[in-house]
Amino acid sequence: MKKENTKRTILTGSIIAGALLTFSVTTNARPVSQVMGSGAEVRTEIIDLNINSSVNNLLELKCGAEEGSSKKAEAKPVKSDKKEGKATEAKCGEGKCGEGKCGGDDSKKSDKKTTKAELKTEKKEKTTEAKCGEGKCGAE
Amino acid sequence: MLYSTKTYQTQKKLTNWVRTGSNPEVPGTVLEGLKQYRRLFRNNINNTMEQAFPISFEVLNKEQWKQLIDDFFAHHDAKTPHVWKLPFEFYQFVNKQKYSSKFNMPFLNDLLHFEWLEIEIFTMQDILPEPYKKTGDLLNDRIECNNEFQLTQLKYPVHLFAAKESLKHSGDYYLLSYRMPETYEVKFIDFPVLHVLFFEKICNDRMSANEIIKEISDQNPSVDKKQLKQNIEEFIETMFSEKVFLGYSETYQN
Repeated sequence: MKKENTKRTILTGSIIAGALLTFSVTTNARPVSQVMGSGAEVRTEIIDLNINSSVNNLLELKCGAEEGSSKKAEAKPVKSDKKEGKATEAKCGEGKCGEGKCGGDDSKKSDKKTTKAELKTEKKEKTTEAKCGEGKCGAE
Repeated sequence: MLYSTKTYQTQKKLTNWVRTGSNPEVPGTVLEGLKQYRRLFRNNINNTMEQAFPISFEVLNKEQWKQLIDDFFAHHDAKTPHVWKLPFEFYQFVNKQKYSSKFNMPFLNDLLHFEWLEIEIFTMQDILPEPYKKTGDLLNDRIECNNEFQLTQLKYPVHLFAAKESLKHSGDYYLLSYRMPETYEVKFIDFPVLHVLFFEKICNDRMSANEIIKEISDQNPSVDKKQLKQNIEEFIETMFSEKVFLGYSETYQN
């Protein structure tokens, strides 16, 4: 049976009118769609932007700011330290529920870029495999 | 099998402890064991969210993130039994409880929504296209779209800028999220509003490019027809190359 995508229309009349007005008034403006790439690519880029953004804030704060006044200052090195180790760790099923990769403590930042993709792959392919805690991240 | 009242009460106490960390008086248990139980459960919730919302995790500070996880775990009665669907409920919880105001982060709801979209599109049901052919007349033929998409309107361009930077660029942003045929990879395209119009006319109303040009020109005589034609052609070519458009609709003649 063919399924319909029901979430399709978001434009209203006023928005359309505005768009066309812009197009007709600013003849040099050529609306262009921005192809952003895959989820992983976009995520990586946005995370980098956010890291750079907070680093810039830190640099601005440094002059005259009290030591430890920014939480990000503490968080950064922790993240880069953890990345390598956690990314190569074994799957959750090899530890107890809530431990290791799928249940590490809050303070342990894992490699988010890869783990999100893994989580989704898990959902797609392994949802029926394991009991809670035996699959990755407690997947069904 | 029905629970006895006693078993039910004991389980209620246990779940209350696991979710809130308060009143650890559960009959027949050892406090040290209970602590581990709560830690493991909470960690599962935390890591599920951390994986689903890596950008938000980066943007929020430790205390804010901890508060969201603790509040969600303690106060949200999950509707889904599926752990992978919990991030959607988390996003709804944060939205409903107005944490964007509490944290003074107006972009937070858009950011969580944007991050959830990738999971939603990746896991959406297959929607097969109608039969189509690879070659055709770009301006006159009807186009068969990849139906596995979602168009989303965002107020803050969290998909284009660092979250805090997005505050300076609030407006109407249109994000197309779609799943690539065969690879199931989720991809994103930022649309200007005119292209949302083109997209909806082509995919929803099943109009050809020339029909769209005529409709727009008839309704808005000030629009430069030549430029409009050039723009829609470029748009369609881009959509074909990105597999948002799959081909030209087959027409059947009886």
